[in-house]
Amino acid sequence: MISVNVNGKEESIDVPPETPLLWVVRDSLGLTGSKFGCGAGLCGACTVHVNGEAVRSCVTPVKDVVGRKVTTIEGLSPDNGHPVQKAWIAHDVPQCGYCQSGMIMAVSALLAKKPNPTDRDIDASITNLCRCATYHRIREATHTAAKTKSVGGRKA
Amino acid sequence: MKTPTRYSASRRRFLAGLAGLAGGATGLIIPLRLSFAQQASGAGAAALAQVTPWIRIGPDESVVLYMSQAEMGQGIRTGLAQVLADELEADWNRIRLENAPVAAPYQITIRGFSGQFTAASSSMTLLYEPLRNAGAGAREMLTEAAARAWQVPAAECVARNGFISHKASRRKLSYGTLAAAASTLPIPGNPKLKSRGEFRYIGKPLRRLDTPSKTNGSAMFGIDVRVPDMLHAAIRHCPVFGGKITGYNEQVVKAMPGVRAVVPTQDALIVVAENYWQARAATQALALNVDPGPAGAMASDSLWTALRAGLDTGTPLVARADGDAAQALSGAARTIEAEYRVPYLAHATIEPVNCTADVRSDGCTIWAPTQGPARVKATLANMLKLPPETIKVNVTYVGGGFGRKGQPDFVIEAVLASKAVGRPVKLIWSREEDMRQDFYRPGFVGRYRAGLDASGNLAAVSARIAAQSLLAQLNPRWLRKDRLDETTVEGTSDVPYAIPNFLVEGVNVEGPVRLGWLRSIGHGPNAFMVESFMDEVAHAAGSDPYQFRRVLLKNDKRALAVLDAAAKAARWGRKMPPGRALGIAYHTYVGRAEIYHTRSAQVAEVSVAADGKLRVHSIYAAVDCGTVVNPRLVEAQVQGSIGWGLSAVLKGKITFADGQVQQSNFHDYPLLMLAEMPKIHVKLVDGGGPPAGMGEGTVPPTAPAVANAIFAATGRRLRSSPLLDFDLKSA
Repeated sequence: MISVNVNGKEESIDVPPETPLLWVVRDSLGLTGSKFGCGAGLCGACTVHVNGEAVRSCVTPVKDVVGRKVTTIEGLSPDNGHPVQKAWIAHDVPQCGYCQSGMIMAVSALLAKKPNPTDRDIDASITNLCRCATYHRIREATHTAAKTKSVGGRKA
Repeated sequence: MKTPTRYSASRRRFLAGLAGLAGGATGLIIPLRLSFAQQASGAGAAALAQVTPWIRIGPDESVVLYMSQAEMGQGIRTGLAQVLADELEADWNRIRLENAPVAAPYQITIRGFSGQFTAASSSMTLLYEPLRNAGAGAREMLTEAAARAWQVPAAECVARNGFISHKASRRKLSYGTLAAAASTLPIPGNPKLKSRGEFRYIGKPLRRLDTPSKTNGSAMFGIDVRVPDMLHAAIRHCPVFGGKITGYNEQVVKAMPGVRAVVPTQDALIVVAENYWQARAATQALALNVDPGPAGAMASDSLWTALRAGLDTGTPLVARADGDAAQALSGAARTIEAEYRVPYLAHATIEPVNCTADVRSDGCTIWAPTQGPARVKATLANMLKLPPETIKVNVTYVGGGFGRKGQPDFVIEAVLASKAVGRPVKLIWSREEDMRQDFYRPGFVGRYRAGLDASGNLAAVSARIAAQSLLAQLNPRWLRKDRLDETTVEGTSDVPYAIPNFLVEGVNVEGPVRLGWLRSIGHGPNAFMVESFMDEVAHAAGSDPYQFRRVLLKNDKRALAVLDAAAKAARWGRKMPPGRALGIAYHTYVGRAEIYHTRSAQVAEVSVAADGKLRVHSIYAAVDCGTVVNPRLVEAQVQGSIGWGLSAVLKGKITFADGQVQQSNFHDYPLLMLAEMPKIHVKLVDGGGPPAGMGEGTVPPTAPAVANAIFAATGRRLRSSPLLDFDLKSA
């Protein structure tokens, strides 16, 4: 049995320790907000936070997060209230939406580290793939969220 | 103006419906507001009145709009809801969307092919008028219901935002109150539609209805479906086209943790296990023995050789013949000739194909991100030998479609797995399988020749394009009698340029690659070729590429307006620093069976550094797509199409060796990244007319606009894609 802390809750999971965190989160815990896109850490659809850092969960064995705090998209806020989520809604960012959980987790992790990222910072940090090419709205919404946070918006 | 006698509803039924309004005229008191439990159960269902097949209204004022089309990012569900809700005069805040079942009222038809499908960018074009009629009809039924309750003429009643009111007597009734009575009335055959000035939702930039659920992880895609008692499955197909799996590591795999069964299909092995990770691990241990079959030696080189040979030795089928191009070319003052090619492409939806199936002895339920639920239903009924009404198809959100998810193959596989194990099974393809077992966009080669007269005017164009025939594989009934495949030549054969002598021929070349509909079909490849060629001709004639096209579009005012708008937005002709330039392209996207015309022009602004690094800075796009139901959604489609098209032209290619696809994941089939996304300026040009498709309409011009800009910046003419395959380092 492996003990993991996901979205503030201690969970006991009966899986081999090499099982990717993505499948633990999706199948063992039923949190399907984090998505499977490539299984190789290339697309970012599986991005979650581990101790606040953006991590691609499809290539992270669950044993590597024992003793750490895992946050999935479901744990970011109970009500779409996170500044990044609010910005996402204000800009109508998603199209098909499949990559967006991972995007939001990547962007929120970036903003926690760099509250006022430049376009260069965003280019370098946000390497998640979006097939619908919503990238321009992702960029705009990231700047909007940065402004919100800097004037006292809810912390990540 | 309608009088009550036009309606031939059963008086008793109508009075029963009115009982709640009139205080029990029949002696029955029907509660106006049922509890949720009563609504959910069949007993209360009558109160959530099915006013028309598209609209149900509840006593709690909720307005359920049925959605027959799949939402795959194009925003169609929000758009169609706007159309229904506007004519209905519903309160937008009360709207709820539900999947329509696969049933007759929701069918659309393209060239004799009827069904429920989300494809060919046809949804809004084909449903705009039907949904306006459905909404308006329901509005009239609700109005009539109120008129009868009040005993006043319907003409004196006004529908507005979920209420019918009668000004003279200052009375008002809500849709929720009226819906039961309204649903007993016959649906008007010819309701009065709103005039354009009366629209409250159509034409407005309303926000997408699905944004919140796609922002908090709650939106359910096919891959997210969970049903009780469900097992999980992974799959390995025979990696060689047309080959066979002859053996595998059966004892080892069946003994692996969690494995419940290995289900063979015609060309694959499906491993069913307790969870996906176990199924996946087991598929990796299969150690397939493969009989490669006839295509075992196929490779990209041999394919391209065959395609090029097709230009010379294949049977050219005439798609267009204006004037006498051969003669005009032989007499031309100057001829220009060029050959182009575009590669095979994969769909690469970020959500890989998947399906959850629950097969029972007396029926089958599936959940899938499918673009073709009617085809799925018919296929499964036939396959399982069950009556169609026992097949239930649940359409989920689609994490990218682009045509791939209209194929029923992955549904059939899940069904076979469920049938074999007697439990629900969720089958998920790995990225590797999704990449290597796709239904590919075929590769094209095109040879173009142009003749200029002594004054430098374009006198003749002759084009011959060769490709594997898509229609021969997918829909042979749509081949012309002589087997001309329209998808091979579309985008060249239908250019709106005034070319006095114009010959376009298509050649079908046999090939082993499995083909599929991929966003922009033949238009994407042809636009790259013909618009690059037009650019070459313009330069050869010493003409400005924008002005050259202006002259050729003189007979098409709508095309001209779009071309001019793009050039204006880009400030065409402005001075640019060395290594930086503009390129222009125009395209009319003639929809399948000519159901619409979408006109778009794009100007690409690129720079090429001394070290060869290419940057696409901006795309200036102008588009005329007729009536715009939601400008916000249309703009997003333009921007998304351009970004999608840039992935294709800059990076996309599928290659083959030993009869297999060589690419397997995003490291060798890369996509455009955020850092590479240009600024996109969109100008919507109002040409009037019905809504034209926007799923694909603005994909074609991007590739040639970029290639033309690279030429303008460097003098290098790139005649194939992906463009990043070329070293653009200055000599």
